[in-house]
Amino acid sequence: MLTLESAPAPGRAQRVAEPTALRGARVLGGITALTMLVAVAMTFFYAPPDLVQGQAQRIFYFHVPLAWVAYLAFFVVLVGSIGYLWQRQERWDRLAAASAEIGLVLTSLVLISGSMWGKTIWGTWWSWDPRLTATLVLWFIYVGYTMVRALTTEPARGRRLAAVLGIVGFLDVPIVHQSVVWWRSLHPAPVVLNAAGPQLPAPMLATLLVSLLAYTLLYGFLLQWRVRIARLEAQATAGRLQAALEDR
Amino acid sequence: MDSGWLFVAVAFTLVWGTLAGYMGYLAQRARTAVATLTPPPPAVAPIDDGRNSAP
Repeated sequence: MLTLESAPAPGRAQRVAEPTALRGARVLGGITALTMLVAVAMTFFYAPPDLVQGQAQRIFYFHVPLAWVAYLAFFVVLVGSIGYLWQRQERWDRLAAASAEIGLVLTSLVLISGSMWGKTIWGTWWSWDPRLTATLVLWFIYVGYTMVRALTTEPARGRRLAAVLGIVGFLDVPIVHQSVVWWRSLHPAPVVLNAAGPQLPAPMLATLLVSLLAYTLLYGFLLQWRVRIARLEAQATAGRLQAALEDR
Repeated sequence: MDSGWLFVAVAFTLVWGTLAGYMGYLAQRARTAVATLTPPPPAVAPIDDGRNSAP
């Protein structure tokens, strides 16, 4: 569903208006909305309360999927960054930048929802637990990525620096994931990706899997939308530049 | 109400409030970009039917 066409530089006469959403994007949006409705209904009405954590455990059904799609978003940043450094085509840079922005929003939500879950279960909003700390570091890496792009006066240099940061920054993702295995952590050990198989009752596992699908679709929908906006903005900038040159 | 429910409801509202705000921001940027790329309507000369002409 990705829109990765290169941005031509239309002159003033060739500018073409495009609709804000393509048919494929609308279909994806509809499927995403339906899947999300099912996931939310299962979260609140189907999944049973946890024996130890009670109702608060329901945060699990959006906290974990948000974390998964944030990892996915930063993996796409890695792919886009490698692609850009390899081919120097702006479509790769637009893909990486779009995914980094979405990943940053998602990681912020992981930290917020995790903090609220921590308050109910651990009695504290924040702890310098290995996973929390590594996730906060991840958040700062992608804030830095966004700032590098925004603050560099030379766009091509900004794209190169951001691509390097997008590759190096991804190293923190496996650290976040493995932190509960490598260090003593307040977070539980993996309950789904477990050597002995998923350690969840069937209704909880089903709710988690549907939620994972729904949030992954949401990420795909947001990504194609954000890439498309970046492409339209590149066309608009190229058009303005062309118009300015024609007026000289 | 169980305080667990309260935390779930507030966390869910924060998550979806932020996502809705982000989607609103994307919609605004998309509209702005499309408006920039849309060519202006051709200028139409006023119709002179004689009523507005000077005698």
